[in-house]
Order: sequence, then structure tokens, then C-alpha cells
Amino acid sequence: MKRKRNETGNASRRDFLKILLAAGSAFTVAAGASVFRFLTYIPTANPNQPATQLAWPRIKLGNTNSLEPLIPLRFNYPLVNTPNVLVKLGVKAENGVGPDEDIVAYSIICQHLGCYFGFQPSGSSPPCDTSFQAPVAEGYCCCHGGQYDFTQGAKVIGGPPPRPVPSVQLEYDAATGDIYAVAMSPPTIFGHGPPGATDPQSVLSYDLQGGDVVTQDTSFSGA
Amino acid sequence: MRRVGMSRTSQKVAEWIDSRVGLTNTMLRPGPDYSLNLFYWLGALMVMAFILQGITGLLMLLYYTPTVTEAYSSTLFIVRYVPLGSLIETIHLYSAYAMILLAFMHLIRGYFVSAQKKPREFMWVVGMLMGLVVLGFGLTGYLLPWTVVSKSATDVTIGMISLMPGQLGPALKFLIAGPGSDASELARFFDLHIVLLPAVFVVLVVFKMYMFEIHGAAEPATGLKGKVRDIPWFPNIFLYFSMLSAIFLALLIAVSAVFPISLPPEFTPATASTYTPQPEWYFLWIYQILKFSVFEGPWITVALGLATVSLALLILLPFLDRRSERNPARRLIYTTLGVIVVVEVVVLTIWGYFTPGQVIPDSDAAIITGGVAVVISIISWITYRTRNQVALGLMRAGSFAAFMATPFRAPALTGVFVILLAVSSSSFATFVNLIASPWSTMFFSSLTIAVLSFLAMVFVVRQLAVSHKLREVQH
Repeated sequence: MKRKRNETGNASRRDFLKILLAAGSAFTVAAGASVFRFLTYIPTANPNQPATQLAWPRIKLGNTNSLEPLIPLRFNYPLVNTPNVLVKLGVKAENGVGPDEDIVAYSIICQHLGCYFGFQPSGSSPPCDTSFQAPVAEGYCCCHGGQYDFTQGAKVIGGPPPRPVPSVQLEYDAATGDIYAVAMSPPTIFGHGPPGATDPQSVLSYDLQGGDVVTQDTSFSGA
Repeated sequence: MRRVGMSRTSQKVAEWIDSRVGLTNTMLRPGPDYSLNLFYWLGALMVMAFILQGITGLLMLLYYTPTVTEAYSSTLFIVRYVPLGSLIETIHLYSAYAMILLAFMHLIRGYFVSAQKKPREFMWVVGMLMGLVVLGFGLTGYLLPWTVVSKSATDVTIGMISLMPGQLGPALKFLIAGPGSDASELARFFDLHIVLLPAVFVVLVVFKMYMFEIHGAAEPATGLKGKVRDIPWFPNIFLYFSMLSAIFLALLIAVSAVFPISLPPEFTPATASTYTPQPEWYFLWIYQILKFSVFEGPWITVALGLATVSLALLILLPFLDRRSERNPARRLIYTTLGVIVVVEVVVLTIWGYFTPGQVIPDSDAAIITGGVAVVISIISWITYRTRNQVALGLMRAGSFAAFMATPFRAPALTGVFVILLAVSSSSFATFVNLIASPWSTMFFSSLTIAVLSFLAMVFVVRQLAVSHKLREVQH
């Protein structure tokens, strides 16, 4: 008798709680879904700039007269925070421009995990490992010992990197001797878009994301 | 009831406050006598360190500027020019180290004495989350001075996160580091470090303290010896914790004053390419695992996946190990697993410290990590078989000091042990070095010497343990 009265007595309260629980869950799910959409929006391009207007900047880097062989010149391209290195190798190289086709430029952001690496002339030792001698003119990454052969299109010749670093496409004006950076070759710069994307449109849109595009004034950050 | 050392007026004031706040009925209740033990106060010391972090952190906010151009120079300004700035900055760093060390100790102790068992399962889960928050503090705070080492190491971490499969990688990377520019990375890490993580940490501390109020301190894992006495909160427990905190703070300040921070150079692409970035010591063991050559390349996702799964298993431990047995000596598998993990972490940390930037060949990795696991399993099994609970009962309250004193009481045996340790480790090192060119005489002889000296060490440890046991019986 007592039990029955309890059941009837609590019926409406129980229903109320059920409704409350259902409504609460529904609100939570709806709010959670909205927040999730908010959180996972990753801009695919600069929203202020229509995708059709995306284009590689054209930046003058220097003149062949002032380039010393094997002295690296660091510059930012295509963004102010994506450093590259330009070097006159002294021997004809893949992707090389200039009168001797020996001037190359590569991104110095390692494709392994995004460390910045330095240029090592053949036979020199990187500051982080003085027992190592570079077998060719190469990029040597101190983080995990990744090596990119600068004479062979930054082919990986040692360490863990899964692919070569992208090269900066250079343009050489034979009349004046000026060198321009005009585009980045695939793959995407590390940290910009999915690692190793290669189709030209993705490379363009991903590489131009995550910083300000360089202007002539900001492209150099010292040798 | 007159309290010790209180005048009538101050007692009246205290009672007036207490009748409104009610602390003596809750947090300031008398505690059991077994809780007057350092191992019961590791968490409390962590909270002390957290408070110290809050104070020193707020002080540094007066001068620090979280922008790419000024982060380094403003940090340098604090260290160089602000009066006592170097000390404040150093205390903040070492207190962070202390917090992480205490968190690990708290976790290890809790694991071995099964503090996570019924009814404290949620305390374990919340504690694990707090541990992750503490590591998050370390990760985000490391970047803020914008030094060449910290920025490069952080970029490696972000690079690893972005390697997670599918859209997870880019999404996580976006959440943590923003759309890819240095400015957004610094801004997010700064916000995480000073707003989100402290808020989450405080909520978790309150939740954990609330559960602690309900369940109290866990009884000793080896059972109670005699009747539990309740110790009054004031003055006994209060004085005990004041003493602990004072020693902790004094050590921290003294070490900070003697070994002040020295900032590495500022991060620039030029300096970055000449430094080998290395994470802080508390991440070195993960760093070392990720340098195993098998995990370089696409397998890194496997390593990260395994790490996530093991972490999830550790968080859910109280729901996996549901036996009520808490004595580590009677939990062979869990105790052995725990010792293996702790020793592996220590070995990997030291190894990672000495091999910055070197990729570890798979054979070395397998020999060392596998060797540690095998050695510890054998020791653990022998100890278990001989029913000698001393080595496993290390954490047992009271006997720890006596156990630590054992080597001094048996100098001859200890000397033999040290010689054997030197012989076994050098022959083991020789063996590892020869692993690339096996089947030589040196290879086999070093292996034999290593195994024999190792077995002899086990024997000596047993003898030491037996002498300790005898002494314990005599007492």
C-alpha cells in the first residue's frame, strides 16, 4: 500500500526529471556541436583575400655580382616567417640559376618536424656535431640529423626527413644579374597545410597561410 | 576547551571565525597518526609549489610582454635589470621543476600503495588529469621566453602533433598553436599558460580536495599496526606541514639563489640552425622514444597512438585493477610493471639527455628497453619467490629509513655490490657497443660477465635484504 502510494506520488516528479534530463542532453549536444564547429574551423586561405587573387610575390633577392660562393644568404619567402637560404654552390646544380647554373634556394624548415637547419659546405661540420663532416654541399638539421643534398634538388641523403625541402623558384635576369624569388616548388613548407601536399593550387594556398606575405623590405633577415 | 598556546582573546576570535567557516569540522579535523609521513604530503607540497608559481608568475607579468619581438627582451630585462628579477624568474623555473617532480613522485607512490582503489577511483582520475595539466604548464611555459632552445623544441612538439592522422593533426595544431604564425603560437601558449590551465587546475584541485574530505588519507598499504590514533590538527599537523613547507621553500630559494637561470640566446632562424633543441628533462624520455629509428617517418603516428593508449590505460587504472589487495608485495604483476615503467623512464631520460639529436638504432633501443624490462622482471620474480618482501616494501612507512641504512651497516656486502655494479655495467656497455658486429669473442665474454655479475648482484641484494629483515625482527 505504502509502496504504491510512493510510486503514484513520484510519477509526475519522475516524468519531470526525465523531461529535464532529455532537454538538458539535447541542449548540451546542440551547444557541443556548435562549439565543435567553432573550434574546428581552419581557415583554408586568408579570409580577407579571395582565393582567386592568391599569387606568389615576386621579390628581388640580390645580384650575382655580390654573391660569394658557398656563403649562404638567408631570406624570408613567401611569408615573413618562412625562412629560406640562397647559396651559390660553385658547381652546376639541379634547380640552379645564374650564369653557372649554380645558385639555388631552399626552405630551411626541415620536413621532418619543422626545425630550422643551416647550410654546410662540403667538408664542413655543423656546430651541433663537430665530429660530422658534410660529404657534399648540404643542409644539415641539428634536431635529428636530417641531410639535404643541395646539388641534387635537396634530395634526402641522411636522417629521418620523409621528403626533400621545397625549393624557391628563382629567376635570373641575365642583363642586370639580378636574382628574383618568384614561387615555391612543391611540397608545402613544413607546418603549412598537410605535410607533403604537392598539387600546385594547395601549395600556393597553404604556403601563403599563417603569416604576412613578404615585401621587398622584409625579405632579408641577414646572412 | 582551551587550545594549546592560545590566549583567551585569540581563542575567542578563532572560535568566532570557526563557528562561521566551520573549518575544524571539515578540512582541519584531526588526522590519523600514519599520515604524519612525507609520502602523505607530496600532493600538498605540490599545491604549495602551485601557489608559489602563481605569485612569481603574477610578479613576472608586470614586466613580461608576450609578443614575438619583445618576449625575449622583456624576459632578459627581468633577469638583468629588475631588482630580484633573476631570483623570481629562477624560483618560477625551479618551482615548476619541483611541481613536476612531486607530481611524478605522488603518482608513483599512489600506484605502488594502490591509493587509487575503492573508494578513491575518481581521486586517481582527477589526479592524473592534474598531472597532464602540470605537464601542459611545462610545455606552454617553456616557449614564453622565446629562446632558441625553447622555441625550436616547441616547434618540434607542434610538428609532431600535426602528424596525427587525418584531420586530427591539423585541428589539434590549430587549437594549440593557431593558424601557423609565430605570433599566434606565442599568443595561444601565453593564454593557455596564464588563463586556461590555471583555471582548470584550480577546479581540479577543489574537486580533489572535496573528495579527500570525504575519503581521507588512504591507510598504509601493508595494513595498520595497532590502533590508529587521531592527531589534533593544531598544533601537531599544522606544525608538521609548516615544517615541510618551510624546508621545501628554503631548499627552493637556496637552490635558486645559488644556481640562477641563464638564458640561452634569442630565437632567430640563424641561431636556430646551429642549436640542437632538446626538451626539458621531464619530456626527455618521450623525446628519446621518438628518436628510435623505427619511429622516424610514418611510424611516428604509431608511437603517438601507443602513447595515447597507455596514458588512457593509466588514467583508467582503478577500473582495470579492481582487486582489493593493496600490499605491493602481494601484487606481483602490477608492482613489477610499475617498477619496469619507472626504471625505463629514468633510463630513457638519462639516455636522451646524453644523445641530443641522435637517432637511436632499433637494435640498441630493443636491447636497452627490453634488457631493463627483463632484468627487473627477473629481480622481481626472484624476490617474490623467496618471499622476501623487503625490496618491494621500500615504500612502507617506517621501514624506509631502516632499509636505506642497511648498506651502511653491512659495508663489506655493499662494497662487493658496488664492484659488481661497475663490472656488470661496463661489460653490459661493451656488449651493447658490439651489438652491431656480434659473434666475436668480446661479444660473448662481455655478455657472460654481464649476466654472471648481474646474478651475483641479485644474490648480494638478497643477503642485504635478509640482514635487514633480521634486524627488523629483532626490533
